[in-house]
Amino acid sequence: MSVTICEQVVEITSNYLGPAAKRFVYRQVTVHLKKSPEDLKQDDIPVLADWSKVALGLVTRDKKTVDAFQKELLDLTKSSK
Amino acid sequence: MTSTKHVQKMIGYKYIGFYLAAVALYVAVTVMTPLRENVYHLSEASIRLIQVSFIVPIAAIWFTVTYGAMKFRQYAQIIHRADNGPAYMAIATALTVMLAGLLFNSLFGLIQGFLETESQIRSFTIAKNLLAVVIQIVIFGVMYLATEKLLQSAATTTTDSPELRLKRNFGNLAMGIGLSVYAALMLSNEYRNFTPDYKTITSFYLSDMELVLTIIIPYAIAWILALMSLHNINAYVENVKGIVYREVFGRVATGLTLVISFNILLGMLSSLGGLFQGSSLQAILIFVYVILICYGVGYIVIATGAKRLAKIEEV
Repeated sequence: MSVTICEQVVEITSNYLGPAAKRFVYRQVTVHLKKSPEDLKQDDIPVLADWSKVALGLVTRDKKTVDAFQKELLDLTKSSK
Repeated sequence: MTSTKHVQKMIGYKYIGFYLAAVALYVAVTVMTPLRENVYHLSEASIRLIQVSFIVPIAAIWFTVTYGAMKFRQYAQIIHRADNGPAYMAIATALTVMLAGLLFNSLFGLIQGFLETESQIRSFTIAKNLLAVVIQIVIFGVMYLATEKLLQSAATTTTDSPELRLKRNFGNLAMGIGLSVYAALMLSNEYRNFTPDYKTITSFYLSDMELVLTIIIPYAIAWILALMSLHNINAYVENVKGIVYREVFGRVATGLTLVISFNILLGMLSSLGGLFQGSSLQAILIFVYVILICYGVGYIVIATGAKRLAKIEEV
């Protein structure tokens, strides 16, 4: 069974936010992209990455970690599963 | 006003209301307590001044403890439907039980001021010491079960790093030494079984066997449960996924470590209290206040950690 884009995003986010990852991602998608997480597409990733970077930046002052998180999300646009 | 905000406000009102009621009761009972002959030969005015000076820092420390427990409960409420929600709710309950135990012990101790005869003081002392140890077992039993839930929510199997094993071994060694010293001090107290002057010298009014079975061993059980809770918290920090989440929860873990450790110290001191009867009042007060302040600081650290965890759920 193929993994959805949203599941890939949650998997990456869990490396940073652990148990809170799924709730974080769902919130970014529904509030900022105004769509259901199941409808998330690869084209949405750049916008989602920008919003997620801002949100994570409010939680931690570690700029390197925040930038790494954004980069990992943006790398999803280059790969396809 | 959303439902979540309403629930958060109600939690706040409950905790603050509980705190204000406890402070009001403490002030009322303190003021009503009759003054008697004391081992430090202080005048009535001096005693009243000390009583008033007690109320302000005690109320401040109680507030920090209430605030910490409240903030953690508010965060746990936000995530109570998540997979690890029940674990956080259990920890919130444990912190609230600790708060209740602290307030209850302080308020219950005030009753002694109203007692006059030796048989009254004897019965009260036995009841107070037994209640204190039961409260400690309940507090750390609840905390241990809560931290077990927390650890299970992190992973089905956990791994221990060399650093974690070192911390665990050090903690076990420290507890072993601490319990041995505690038992030795308790059993070396010459007034442990009786007192020649009940008005100035305290006693447990228990035989050595009763002391071991009803005070020393139960406290040992409580403090071992506390140590196991600390091990679980450290293991959770090590095994939970998410580098940012670990960093944020790390603050909560630090606060929990301070709170549990100083709770143990407070329990030890309160049961060993008779040993300090010959010490200066100033030294005793400073020592007790330092420990209480550290205990309160632990709750403040928990509160700041809980606020940061809540931030993750808001951004």
